[in-house]
Amino acid sequence: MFQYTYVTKKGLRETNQDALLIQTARFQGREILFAAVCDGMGGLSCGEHASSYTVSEAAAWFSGQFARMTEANADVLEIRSSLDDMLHRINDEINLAGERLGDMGTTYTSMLLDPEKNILLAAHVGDTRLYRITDSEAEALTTDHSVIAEELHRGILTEESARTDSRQNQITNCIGAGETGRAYDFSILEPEDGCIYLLCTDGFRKLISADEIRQALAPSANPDTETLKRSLTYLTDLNLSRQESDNITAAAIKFTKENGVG
Amino acid sequence: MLKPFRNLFAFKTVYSENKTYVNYKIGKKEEINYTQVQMLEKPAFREYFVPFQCTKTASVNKICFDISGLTALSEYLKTELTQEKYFEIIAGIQRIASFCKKSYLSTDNLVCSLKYMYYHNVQKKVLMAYVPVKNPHYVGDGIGACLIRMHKKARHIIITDGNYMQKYEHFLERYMPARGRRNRKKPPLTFSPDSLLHFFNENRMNAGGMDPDFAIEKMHPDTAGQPAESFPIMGQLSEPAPSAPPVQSAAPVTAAVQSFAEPEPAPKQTVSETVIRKRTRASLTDSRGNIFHITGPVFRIGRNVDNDLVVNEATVSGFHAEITCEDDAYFIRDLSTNGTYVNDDAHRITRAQLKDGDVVLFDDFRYTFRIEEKKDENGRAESANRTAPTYTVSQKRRSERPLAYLKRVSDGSEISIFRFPFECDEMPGLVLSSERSWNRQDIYAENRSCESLCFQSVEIAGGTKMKIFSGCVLVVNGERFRFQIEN
Repeated sequence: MFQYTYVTKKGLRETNQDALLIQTARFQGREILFAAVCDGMGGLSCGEHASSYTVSEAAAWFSGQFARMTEANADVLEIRSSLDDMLHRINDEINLAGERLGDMGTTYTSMLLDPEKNILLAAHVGDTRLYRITDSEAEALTTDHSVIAEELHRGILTEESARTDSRQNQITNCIGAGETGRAYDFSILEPEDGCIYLLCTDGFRKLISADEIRQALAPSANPDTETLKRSLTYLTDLNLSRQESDNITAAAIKFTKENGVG
Repeated sequence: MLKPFRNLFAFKTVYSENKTYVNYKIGKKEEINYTQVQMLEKPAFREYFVPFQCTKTASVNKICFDISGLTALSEYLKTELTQEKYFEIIAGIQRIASFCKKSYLSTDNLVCSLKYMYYHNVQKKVLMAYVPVKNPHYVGDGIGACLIRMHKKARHIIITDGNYMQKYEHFLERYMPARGRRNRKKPPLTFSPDSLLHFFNENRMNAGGMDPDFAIEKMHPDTAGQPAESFPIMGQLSEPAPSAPPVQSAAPVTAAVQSFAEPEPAPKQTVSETVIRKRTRASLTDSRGNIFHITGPVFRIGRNVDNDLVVNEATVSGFHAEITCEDDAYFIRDLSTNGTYVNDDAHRITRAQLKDGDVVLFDDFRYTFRIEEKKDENGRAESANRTAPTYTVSQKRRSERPLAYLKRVSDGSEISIFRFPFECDEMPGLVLSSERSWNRQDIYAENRSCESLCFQSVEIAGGTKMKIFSGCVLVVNGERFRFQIEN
């Protein structure tokens, strides 16, 4: 059973370049969830175009290609491959549009959760994140494709210096922006009963710590959609109170293995 | 045998623009009843049914319901409800069923699953999805069964009239299968909306000592002032309130962005925006598909470990050649003993400008020079008279970025990959190689002589290879590694 909610705020910016999608499918009594967040970038309103185009194409993939594959009982590797093809196709299309309208691109993080098959397929590019939140920890399941994350990984930056580094907005991989031949990250995991999955853009998590996310979104403190919504709103307000200037978007999905109503 | 609607694929989609849709895929054999579609678009019908749009493609019929601003009854019932509110919902369902009967619409086409029945929080009314198909292969679960299920699920009702509630439970029992009924000899009745209307007319909540009009007013704010006898109003045909949601196109988000329109000029952003760190425009690609990006103003090639590209072959000089970038143009300069050649291995160059697609030879070792603007991204050398040279990476060259790494799941330690094909002593028998396909770089794991090699629980047999992906888990001789491409 899924309980989910989301927040999206323009913040101090003129436009909201973030896009979000939560989709559930019911097929022969089983429920499957697909959710994605994108953080667009590009001058004028190109960033909005890139991110909203990506989520709408992702939604079309879920209700088209994915549905056909599920009906044909395709395995997770085939589904991953299909999702990868879809993302590379979007990349080419955005690049093509970018030639006409100016550079545009978007980050992309999505999760596909099929409880029946006990599979969580995460797809990721850029600095949007997927967290797995339990009562004891909030763990990022994705690795940021950013200059700072890369230098942290290579030991050039320390955690302390990373926080104050001026290159917070520099990412190393995205969909579009003229990039070709890039690889996107995928993880095939087992969904955990009773935990909360959080998809968020960098605006949601840059000025708050993982521990603050865990405290607010601990599954035991968020038994229903209303409390989940309140917790997301609280974290958004916390970001705003700390002068976050970026767009803020997050989707929280609580997964429990019990059967739902209906 | 008719199948229930719940066996169909139904997609619920939430967009960040506060738009939510439920999409039913109903199969190409189903014939959409366009007379009903037209009828359901009329304002009177929108009072009872969720707005929708039909789309027919080559393989499927799709019906997209716009449920923006609506709450699924399954969720609504989880909240604490007063008994009045609960019966307001039931009366709403009854009104829809009665309206169907009056309008010659089959109640079989109503989606009677609580997840796909809705409550309009502003207009305080129930809306249901009607699937307008002829000779359906699929049917709804039935309103009777739905009311029974709803009663089981609504656990947080604040009872204000226990007697009335008990009567309603007795009423429901008549429609339950034998197992749940007190009188098991009698078969369950077929539910009819009239029987529920009859129940409402026969019984009144909080009737004892209370003005019946008051109770009705509380239950149906929109019917306030109507005589008590008219409750619940069967097939009430009222004009939609000004706040009624307009019929949305099936997917405005998709429609809006499917073709990239000229963007509206937006004011200049005052805060720092996300930017992508561009890779260098130019690169050298060897015959195996390894790409070496040309970084810095001077890019050196040679056998010495201080070069940017170290070619560990005896016939290559310590400092063999260098590539420089001047005003967006790339030049190569020969520094070697055995020579550097461009496109023609008979003509040794001292200095030459490089163009996209030029083949550069360092002694006999071929590389293709690429500038990224070129549309054809196939970076492989057309032919190579010798296989690609071997590379070594000096530990001194700390500044070189790895292409990928393998991270041990057990302790988090990492093995960096600077070149493909990649082999290492810690994982004997495993070879990771890279092949360029039309729009991406594919990585393969090959089992040359591993005792066991698994990729995402799939065994890679000896002598075979399998395409892997960034983020996947490889189990090499029983040890788990996560493979990650560095961007």
